[in-house]
Amino acid sequence: MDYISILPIQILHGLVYGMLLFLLASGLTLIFGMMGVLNFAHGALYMIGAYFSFSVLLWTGQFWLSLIIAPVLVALVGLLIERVFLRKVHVYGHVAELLVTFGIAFILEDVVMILWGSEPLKIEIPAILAGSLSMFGDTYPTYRLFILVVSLLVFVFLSLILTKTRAGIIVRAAVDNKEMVGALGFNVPLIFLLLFGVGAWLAGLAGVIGGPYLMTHPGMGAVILVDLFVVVVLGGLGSIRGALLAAILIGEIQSFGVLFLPQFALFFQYLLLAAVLILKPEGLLGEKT
Amino acid sequence: MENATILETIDLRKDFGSQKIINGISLSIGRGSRHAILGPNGAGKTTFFNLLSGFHKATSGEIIFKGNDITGLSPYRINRLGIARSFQITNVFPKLSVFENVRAVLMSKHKIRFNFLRNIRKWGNLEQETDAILEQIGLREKKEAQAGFLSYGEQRALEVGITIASDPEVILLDEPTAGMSIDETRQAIKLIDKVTQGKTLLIIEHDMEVVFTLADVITVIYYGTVVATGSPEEIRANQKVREAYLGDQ
Amino acid sequence: MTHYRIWNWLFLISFLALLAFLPGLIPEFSLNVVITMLIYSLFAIAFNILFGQAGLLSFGHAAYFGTGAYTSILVYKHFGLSLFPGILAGGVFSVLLGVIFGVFVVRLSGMPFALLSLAFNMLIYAVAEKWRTFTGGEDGIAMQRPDLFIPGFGSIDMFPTVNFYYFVLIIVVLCIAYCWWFTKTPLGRINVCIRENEERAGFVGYNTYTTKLLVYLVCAFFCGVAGALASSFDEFVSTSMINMVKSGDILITTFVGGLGIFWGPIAGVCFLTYLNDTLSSFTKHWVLIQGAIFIAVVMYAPDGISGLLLRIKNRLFDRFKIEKG
Repeated sequence: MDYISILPIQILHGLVYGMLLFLLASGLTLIFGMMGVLNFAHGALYMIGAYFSFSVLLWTGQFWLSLIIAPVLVALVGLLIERVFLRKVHVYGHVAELLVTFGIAFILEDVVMILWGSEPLKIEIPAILAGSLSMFGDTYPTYRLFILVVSLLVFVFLSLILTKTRAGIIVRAAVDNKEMVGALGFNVPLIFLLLFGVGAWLAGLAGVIGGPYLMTHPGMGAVILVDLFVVVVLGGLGSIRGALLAAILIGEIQSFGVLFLPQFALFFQYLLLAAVLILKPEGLLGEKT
Repeated sequence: MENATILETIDLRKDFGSQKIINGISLSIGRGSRHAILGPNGAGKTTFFNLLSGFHKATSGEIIFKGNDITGLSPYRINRLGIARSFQITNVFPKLSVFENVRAVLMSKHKIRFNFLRNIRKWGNLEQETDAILEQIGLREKKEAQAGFLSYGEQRALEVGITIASDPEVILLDEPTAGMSIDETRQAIKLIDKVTQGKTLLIIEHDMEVVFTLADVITVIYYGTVVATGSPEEIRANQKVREAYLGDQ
Repeated sequence: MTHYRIWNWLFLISFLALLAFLPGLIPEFSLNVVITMLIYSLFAIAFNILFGQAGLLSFGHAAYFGTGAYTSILVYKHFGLSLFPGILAGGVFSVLLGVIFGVFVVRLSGMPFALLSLAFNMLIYAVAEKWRTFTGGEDGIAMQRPDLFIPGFGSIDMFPTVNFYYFVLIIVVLCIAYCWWFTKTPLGRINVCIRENEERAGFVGYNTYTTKLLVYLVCAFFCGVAGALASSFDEFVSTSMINMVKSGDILITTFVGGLGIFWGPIAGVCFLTYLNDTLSSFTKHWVLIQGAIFIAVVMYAPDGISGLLLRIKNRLFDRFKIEKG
């Protein structure tokens, strides 16, 4: 096999998956940074994003419409989760919050199976995205480039909001020190709520664009959650920049790992997660533990 | 009686990143002395205790206890060697009973730490010893009460009880009377006096009545360095101390 | 207090007597459910040594249950050992695994502890899945239950459910009895101290790391025994005994039962096993119901079923006291 020539393609593969992971991880890491809760239901939110998209597609036949509507629906679910469940158990501490998200993940998976069945679903992508483009002397599926483009756009958008807008600065401050922000008069519970909603929106978006790429089935949430945890821990809980680096790293490891040692691809992820937790629980860039 | 040095620090320094909190403290604590540490807030007193008790690792410098270098040892090792400390913010075992709080310390003292085969009641003397300490700190009546539910003053007493239960040679008390009323403070002084008989006491305090009643040596710390060390009268008269403390009585 | 004690002992003895005579009272398929309850009660009680008593939340304890399960089957298959050595081997190998993982995991607490235990579980799951020649992979290994060999007495055939039931009953009762005893030993008490205030425990002379490790190993042993009993019962082992679902299950079950009271996890096991058994015939959506119960407990009764029952009992008794004047 001519490794040199396939190198750019492999790197691209890794980048695509990595950026998708980043969409998910960015929301997860912000939620963790602010609430101290590792949202076990994040994978499930990703899953229902894909399933909502399927239904909107079924209903309207328009992929672009589902791209807009489905994430919003997932955001609403996220708001509901925070408002009804998380807020109530907040007083019982982090363990209780963790357990609630864990339970919700379980439930959502089963709900999806009830409503949509347990067989994998096929999601029709619009013709314009279905082809492939020629690059690096080979062809590359357009859809994957689409994923890359959308993820990058979201990243840029997110960065701008977080660094340039007042709301974004408040959120970053709250992630860093919520007591202080509360003392300054900001409505911290509301910030929590909105943050969770945004995190859910990102997860839903990832589900919409990721579903056709990675397969849409009830176990998809659990499968991607593993990689998500690796990314978030590796990148540092609470650090967006860390999440980006880690996501791309994991994406590349997956891409090349699958190529060279398909048996051990999964192993690497878990070993990496274990290694980071053992050696440096704060991750690569994060300050919080 | 020989007033040998039981604990001493040699140019002890501690940095937190770029913040230099302890800037070279060289101090000798005499065996059996009652040594008070004074200083304005943020002077580094608690950090100093943290260094002595092993909670923080010194950036440089040495801590010598009974002639042995204990710099860098873990808290549990330092405790086993004979130094115990109390905390400014009460640091008990909240859901356990008062009795259990103290007994836990005694178990460690008697090296009963890993046994997973015998019922703890088999060590009959433990119960008596625990009761004795509870008696000393005045919590015998409350032995079954949950530590987290005690009143503030009672918790502070328990805090002292936990500290002395390891039967240490050197006792470090960090603002034991913080937040106490005048009466509670007077009680606390009596308690501290009683339980530290024959031992070396190092006490951080803000309350001057406590300091001047109990202490025979005072060290004033300011910005991580020693400003002055001496008897209470010497310190009272010291000009530098006056400046550091601004309006101290 | 002694009055209360007598009632407790009476209740316990009659309960054990009931269990002893159970095979004569209920049909075999119900006996199977009880065996399952016994096995998972041991698993839950052991798990609670870590969860409720040490305050350490592990998302990966199926690693030990599964190791015990695989060990016994493999020991029967490759070494032809009889039942009891197989069960013991399950416990021992779980402890060995516990040493390998524990050394790292026990340094942490809270979220990192939970995540690392998850990672370790996934690692060993991956091993079990990939090493098909040894573990049978996802298809698993089937193995007939060997006899129980009692030296000087002979072999007892363990194929009849009743026989195996008594074996499980004795093992589980002995193990749970020890776990109860454990809470009264120095290590058991220090374990709780460390949960309450690990920092202070260190300051009063405890090496909390080695203490936690030892506790971790005690827990691993009994989880392994439970797993070995489970695979011997099913006469089958596969990756489902060592996967994340199993880890999640025991977590949910223990929590629903209640962490604060010793027998709490047993209540959780019995309640959920019973529900699962009865509702499974009506609906496939047991997971949903279990999830909903779990969330309800987390939100409205975080001290679990046992805590709830105890609170109700106390309130009833208070009312009696008030009425008596």
